[in-house]
Amino acid sequence: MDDIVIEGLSWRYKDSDWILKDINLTIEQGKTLGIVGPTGAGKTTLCLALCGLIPKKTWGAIEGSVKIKSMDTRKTPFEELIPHIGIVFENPDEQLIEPSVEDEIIFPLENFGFPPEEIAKRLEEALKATGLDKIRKKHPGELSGGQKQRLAIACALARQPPILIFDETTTDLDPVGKSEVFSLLAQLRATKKLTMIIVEHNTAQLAQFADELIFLRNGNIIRRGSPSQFFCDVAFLKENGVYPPQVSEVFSEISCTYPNSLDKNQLPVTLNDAIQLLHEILDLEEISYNSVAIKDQLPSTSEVIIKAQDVRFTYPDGTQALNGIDLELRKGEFVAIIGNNGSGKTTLINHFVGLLKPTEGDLEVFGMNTKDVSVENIAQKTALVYQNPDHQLFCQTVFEECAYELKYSQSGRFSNEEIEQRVSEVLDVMNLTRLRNEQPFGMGRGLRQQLAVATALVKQPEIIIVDEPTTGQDASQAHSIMRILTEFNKKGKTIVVITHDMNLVSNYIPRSIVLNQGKILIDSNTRDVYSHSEILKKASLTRPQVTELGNLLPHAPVILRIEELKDILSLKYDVKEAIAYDR
Amino acid sequence: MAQMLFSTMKDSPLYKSHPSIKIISIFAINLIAFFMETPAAMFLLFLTILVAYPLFRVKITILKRYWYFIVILVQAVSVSYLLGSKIPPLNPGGSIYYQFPWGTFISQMTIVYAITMIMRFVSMLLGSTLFISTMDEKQIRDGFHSLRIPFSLAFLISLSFRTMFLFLTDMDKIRNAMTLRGVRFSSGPLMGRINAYTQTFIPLMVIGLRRITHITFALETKGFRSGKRSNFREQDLKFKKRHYLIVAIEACLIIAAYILRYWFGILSFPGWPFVPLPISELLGLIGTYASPIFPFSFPFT
Repeated sequence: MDDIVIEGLSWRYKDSDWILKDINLTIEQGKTLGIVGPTGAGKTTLCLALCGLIPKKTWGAIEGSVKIKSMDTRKTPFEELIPHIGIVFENPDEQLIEPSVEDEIIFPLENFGFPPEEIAKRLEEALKATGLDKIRKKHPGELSGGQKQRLAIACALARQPPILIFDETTTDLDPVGKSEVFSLLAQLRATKKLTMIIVEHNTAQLAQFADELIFLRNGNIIRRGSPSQFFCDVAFLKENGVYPPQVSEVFSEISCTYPNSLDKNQLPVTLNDAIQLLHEILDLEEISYNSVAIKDQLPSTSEVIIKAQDVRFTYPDGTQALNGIDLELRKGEFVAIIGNNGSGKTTLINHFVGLLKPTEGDLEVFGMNTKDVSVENIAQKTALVYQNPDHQLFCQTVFEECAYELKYSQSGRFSNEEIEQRVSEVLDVMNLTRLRNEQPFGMGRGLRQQLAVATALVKQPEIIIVDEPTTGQDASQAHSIMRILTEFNKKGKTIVVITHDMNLVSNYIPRSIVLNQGKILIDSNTRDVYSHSEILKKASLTRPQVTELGNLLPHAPVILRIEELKDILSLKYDVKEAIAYDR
Repeated sequence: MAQMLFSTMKDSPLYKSHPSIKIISIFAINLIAFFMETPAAMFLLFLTILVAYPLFRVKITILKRYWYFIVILVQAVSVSYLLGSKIPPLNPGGSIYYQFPWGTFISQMTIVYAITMIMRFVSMLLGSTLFISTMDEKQIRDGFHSLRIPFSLAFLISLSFRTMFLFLTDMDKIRNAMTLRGVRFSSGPLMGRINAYTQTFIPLMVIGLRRITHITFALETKGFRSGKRSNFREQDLKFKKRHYLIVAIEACLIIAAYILRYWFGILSFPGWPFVPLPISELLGLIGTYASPIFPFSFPFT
């Protein structure tokens, strides 16, 4: 039986173009559907249509129909529809409104008028299913990111709707937080036989849970299939802004090397599948690494531009965010600051730009103690790109946004021609030229994030600090930003990036600093950092699939990039494949 | 960690007291402060509230985060009273320091008046904070609801404290981001600074509207308007004798302050013309503002 039937669905918000175009989709009861697609493809809009918020609670025009449990969302009152669906959105802080975990779960149950004895029963069930029973009295604000999202799921689960929708639920979470949420989803799928719809950029996680995947682009479903079918066309996915699981990409790359053992149309999509396949096609002991050239950047010896000595910082509410930080950043370095949610990463970069001053210890930027200089002084040589671009955009057009600092903060230094030239160059690099007269707030999240980066690049600062450049971005946009930062780094500028995306770090960033509870756990080159799995685990970080796969190879160096593993595995061609030919 | 405007002071003995009584007390303190105008009485009220903080184990430092806004408001209060007062000196021929072209002036009395008004403003702020900081979201909602305010309205009042916190957090971030982009909030010419603040409204509005949309969607999917609400943990919020006693005392204090100010003029500011406000007019005023909120009609509107 089909839980959801969509026929010819098109939707546009008031005064906008069509966001969804002629969508036809059926979702069987008890199945898990994954939705992937680039930013702005219409994924969230589709979720809103699937739970009836579109068209019932949103202004716009609709064509076609969505039937949930045979109820047409256009004709059925929202109050009759919503008991059948639970939805968990991206930002838990905008969903949690009660003063304790228990109260939060009870709130929707009370709203739906369940009798007290039923509420008590469902509360216990939801707490147990989400593993929150030991922290039931805590305030949601005291929970970690993963726990908050588990609580948001518990609220939806307690109502026991047959359909659950997750709209980029794990975007802001550290890798362990993401795993927590996905483990819970796996458990729910196994025990409750729920119909689930998951929107997610992290294809590696999605591949493990989805029965079926759809690819949404410009409001159209352009591809549909099981994970193994879906991820086999690696080139198509990457061209369209979605990066497949790394294991699929690796095996796609080496499939020509092992034509007899590997079917290009049946690539592994999970790490376990990949490990099994690797054992099947290779004798791992026989691999030689002699001709694999792995080159890492040598440690920089240039001048120190940021120096922290026993920096400690305590917020007015008593939260000790930094707990004795000692570090040196040198000119021209490219550094990742990684760690779990709440480890002190953002607090630390706010110290780099002088927005926060150490409560103990000293921090010097370009030889100036931040306690003795104003933020404006430090800002002349540094730029900070915020996680949410909306916090830093305020002008009427894209051009004005980029030109603001050149025009006003250093007035007199740049002529109009110079401003025009610099802004045009940056807009060109960021691929924003066509939008130069557009209003920033009308653009999509990905473009706004790119504009925020452009505003930082245009003043050509010595240090660019980027806080979570990948939040709300599809893989293609994230890689694009990282490539631009790499180019900037090659010009001798220092780049500091905060991120949870371990794939990005391994691909682009030579030095990593791992933070946990306001302390540095390890500060070394990324390959060395990734070799310390215990330390990463302590900081709620997980290694990329390609590193885990490379770890199976005896005596192999730590693998960071797909190309490195591809090179190693391709070298085996003349060993086992040759045997296969002989046979 | 603060999730509302303040971290809830769970160690305070006030935390476990009846939420409706705390809400009534907030109104009482504000009303009494509003009726008072004499510097000595205002100082006494201010001192009493200050003493109440350690007494009820509430840390006054919770206001530290809002210090910037408080200073701006105090400045605005003092400037407006200094520029707009026409209180004559107590003794004929007393000194007037500066006469403004529009007829008001700065004298010893207007300075004392401005200080008294600052004390009034700070007393209202500290008095309200004392009680609000000992309430969580649920207490605020239950407190209003048990005062017969409809649940949806009581809920929105409690939600507003949460969203105000998010709003102020966004405001901080926007200010910091703009400072780093060369916008000057605390230096440069006055007009430039005013302009800088007006620029923060654009991102603030955009973020605020997005947040409101998201919160509304979350509430809709949690059945906020399903109309079938049950009550799982109906707290015993019925008033007991001690609660009636507290309300009676507070009512007496309000009435006393009213009579002393408007009937006898004892709490009026010295030298300020005494304008009596008949009780029927006062109740009429309260009724006019309260009738859209309360489900029952006020007999005196």
